[in-house]
Amino acid sequence: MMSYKHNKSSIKKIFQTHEFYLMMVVLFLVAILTVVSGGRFLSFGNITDMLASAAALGVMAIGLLVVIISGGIDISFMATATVAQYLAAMFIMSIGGNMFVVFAVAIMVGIVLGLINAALVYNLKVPAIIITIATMNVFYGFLMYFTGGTWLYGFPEWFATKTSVTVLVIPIGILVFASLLTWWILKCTNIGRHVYAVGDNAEASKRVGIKVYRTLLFAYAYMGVMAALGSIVLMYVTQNVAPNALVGKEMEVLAMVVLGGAALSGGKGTVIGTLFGLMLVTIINNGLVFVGVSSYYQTLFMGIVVMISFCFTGLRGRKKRGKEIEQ
Amino acid sequence: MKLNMQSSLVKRNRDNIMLSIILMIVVIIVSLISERFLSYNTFISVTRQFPEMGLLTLCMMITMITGGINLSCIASANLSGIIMAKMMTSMIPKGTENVGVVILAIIVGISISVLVSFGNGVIIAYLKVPAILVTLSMQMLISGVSIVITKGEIVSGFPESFQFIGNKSVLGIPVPLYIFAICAIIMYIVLHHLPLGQKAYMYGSNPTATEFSGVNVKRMIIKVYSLSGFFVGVAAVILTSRFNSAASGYATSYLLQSVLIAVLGGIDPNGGKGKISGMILAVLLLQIVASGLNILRVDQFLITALFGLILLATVAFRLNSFKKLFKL
Repeated sequence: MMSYKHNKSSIKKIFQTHEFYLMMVVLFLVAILTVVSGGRFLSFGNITDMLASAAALGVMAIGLLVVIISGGIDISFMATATVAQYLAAMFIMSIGGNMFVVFAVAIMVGIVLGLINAALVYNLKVPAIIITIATMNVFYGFLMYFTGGTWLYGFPEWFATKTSVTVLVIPIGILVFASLLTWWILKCTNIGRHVYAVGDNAEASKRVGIKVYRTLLFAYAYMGVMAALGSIVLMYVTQNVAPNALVGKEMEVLAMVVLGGAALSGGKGTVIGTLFGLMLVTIINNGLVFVGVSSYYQTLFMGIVVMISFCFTGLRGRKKRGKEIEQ
Repeated sequence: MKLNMQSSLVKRNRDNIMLSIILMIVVIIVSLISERFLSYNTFISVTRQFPEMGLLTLCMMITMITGGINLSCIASANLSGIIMAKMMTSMIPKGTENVGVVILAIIVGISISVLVSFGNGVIIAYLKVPAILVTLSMQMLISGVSIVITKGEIVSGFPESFQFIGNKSVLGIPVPLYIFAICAIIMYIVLHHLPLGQKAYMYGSNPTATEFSGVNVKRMIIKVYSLSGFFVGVAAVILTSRFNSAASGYATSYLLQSVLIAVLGGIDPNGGKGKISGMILAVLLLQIVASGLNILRVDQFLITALFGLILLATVAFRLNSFKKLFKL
């Protein structure tokens, strides 16, 4: 009897999760778009197109998720990605290497810049958004100054050869890899639990013996790694490096993470939710064009969806708080 | 006792004293390197950009005092500019003057910004969504509206009387500077002589206590954001007039700069702290640094990077001792 009751409530709980709502919204949108486009929206070609173009941003969103769970935020990740991309491209063009080397160089750059962010956020005791706005200016400013904003293209043969298979497998493979790795870290490792704990209550975590500084170093470095991975995926898909292409898209990625149910106050958020957020943003961007809505309406539509979703989250949070007070 | 008071005065104004010293050092260094720096031209170029930057920082400052932030300011300024531009270009034939329409356009433009910010305030106050999220999504929404209205194009060609606001001088001082002075005085009165300012400071330093002390927090937040929108609207008038055009993607670099200046000027992003004098000094400092570096032909992007470093250095300096910084 008891277990039956317990079961029922846990199923009920699934229906009440943010991820469930998101899934409903995603399915609803897909259904509408499929009907309106006469089935073309769900064609294999379109789905793979969407996945390949969204994968890079998705990888970055997953990195940002970890930082947001730890109670911080990182606005500088697009600048980090650009720097990592640029240095990796310069490395393979002047010295050479292989697929492994590109990723290794980019990831190292990502880690270093991430650690700088973490050290500043922890030690300067100023909101992370201020610090990362500053570091974004620093990273991006120096990159543009030293490179003069020139584009890089004409990569070595082994990087430039794209087949219809690899162009799908590499982006999607890396997105799947990043999702699984992050899910595993957050769910099954000590450091993952520390990230949640620090985000929920940094002071309490410190008192129970969690090394807050180390946790933050991990979170921001992880963001750097994910930014680097995403940037190399983009470099592979577009076959060029444009220093001014990425910076400015931070908000789109942030929207994915917050749509996915992560709380900016920290301590809350899941990989699955973020993936749904990614789907939502991609479907809106791609679907509107598909249905024949002028691309001028894209930003407006995006803004409306994000605004409604934030308000909705706010309302639900308020209800929950109200219940807690009643109890 | 007297000594005590003096030291507390010094303590209270430490930020401003520091900023003034840095300002003087910068001016001395740049004028030593380049003779052209101490000239009327530099004065004009600084005073041209100073008011719009100052107004945007005022808008950021008042929301930051309550512990919030207004990231939708640039998008909302652009929307105001576009509506004003559309009104003037459609209602006034090219080459003719119609001061009535210009004034009407200005009023409509400012009210749009106030309305947008009012919307921010309502959502923040009643739905309790963090200000950063609300203003961020508002920024997307508003720039979406701007893109739909303009189809991504630039609207330009205004009557002389409108261009006067941003480009002409009266008694050797550019008109925008007068406008900024009036707005700064309004802000000073609101912050230090009206209950709204006191409530804003109080809420910024302790939201829970303020709520329990009987302050109508919701109404206060809505008023604060509306005022912030008013400053944005005024900035939009100056910007549109100075550029003599309006588009959805203008002045995007100002957003981060205004956050930077607010923090540099001693406004605590956590809320509850910040003075106008510090903010004005910070705007002045950054404008002088920027125009000094421009005269020395320093790369634009290097200046961006330097701004970031200045922000980090200021924050580090405020920790009182560098020992804390390196205590890992």
